[in-house]
Amino acid sequence: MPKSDEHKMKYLENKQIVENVFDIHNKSHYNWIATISFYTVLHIVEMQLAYDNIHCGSHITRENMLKQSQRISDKTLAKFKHMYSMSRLARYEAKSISPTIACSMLKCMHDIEKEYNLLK
Amino acid sequence: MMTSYNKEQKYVEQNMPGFRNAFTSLRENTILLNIDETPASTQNFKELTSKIISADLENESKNKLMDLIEVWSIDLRQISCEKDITAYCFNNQDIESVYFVTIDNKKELIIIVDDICSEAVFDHNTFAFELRAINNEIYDFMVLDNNSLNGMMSLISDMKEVYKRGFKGAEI
Repeated sequence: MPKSDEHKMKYLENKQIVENVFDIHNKSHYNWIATISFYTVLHIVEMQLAYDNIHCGSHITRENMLKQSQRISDKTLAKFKHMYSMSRLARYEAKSISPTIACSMLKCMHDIEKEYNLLK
Repeated sequence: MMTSYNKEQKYVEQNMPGFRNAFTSLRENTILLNIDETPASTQNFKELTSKIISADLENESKNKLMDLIEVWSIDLRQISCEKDITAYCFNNQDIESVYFVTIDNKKELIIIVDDICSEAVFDHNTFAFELRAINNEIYDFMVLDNNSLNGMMSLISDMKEVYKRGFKGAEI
């Protein structure tokens, strides 16, 4: 099972892609921004669970573990869930998600990074 | 074999009126008085049923009645859940509607809001987490706006409206 520092590496890889590969002004990138920013945050929260040696195989199990974890606030859990729903939308909706949603995903990602002191 | 069947039927017939009255009364009281605070669990009702019918019934008939009670208590939790949703929505006027939908044969809750990017969306997600914690039937949930819902429609096989802002029943 991945350790917390391995999740941190994955988080940094995803963050670099979101911030350096995709362009928030390019409509064809909105779905990718939503999807990868969610996976960026997924590795942040998995990093927190891994500190307690907790590893999850499904989204529902993960959500239940996050809800019980002392390391995750209700607000962070709500933001994580919002990002999960929007990434689901980005993956399954036929058309592109709106730029407003793509921007809100980046804001949520930065909020969660800030909460765990990951912003330089 | 036939004797045994008739014996069971006789016991069911003897017990059913009392059983039905007890549970009708219990159901009405629970809904009217304290359903919001203490919705009874399936196990509670199974234990209660077991006590009511334990006098004479054979195992097969007991199981049939247990199954009935299980379905009934799930219905009761559904009523409780819908009341919780309506009460919450009444206090959060940015919620336009709420649906139970089926996606991949799993029941999901969808809350439709006016603005998907507002801060209130996080509160609605927290509410849905709490609701799911006490309702095992809800597999997952999403807070969306109407545009997003339209984009998800191809995945939805069944849809039941639980709440609609401004319509009859949307007030407590």
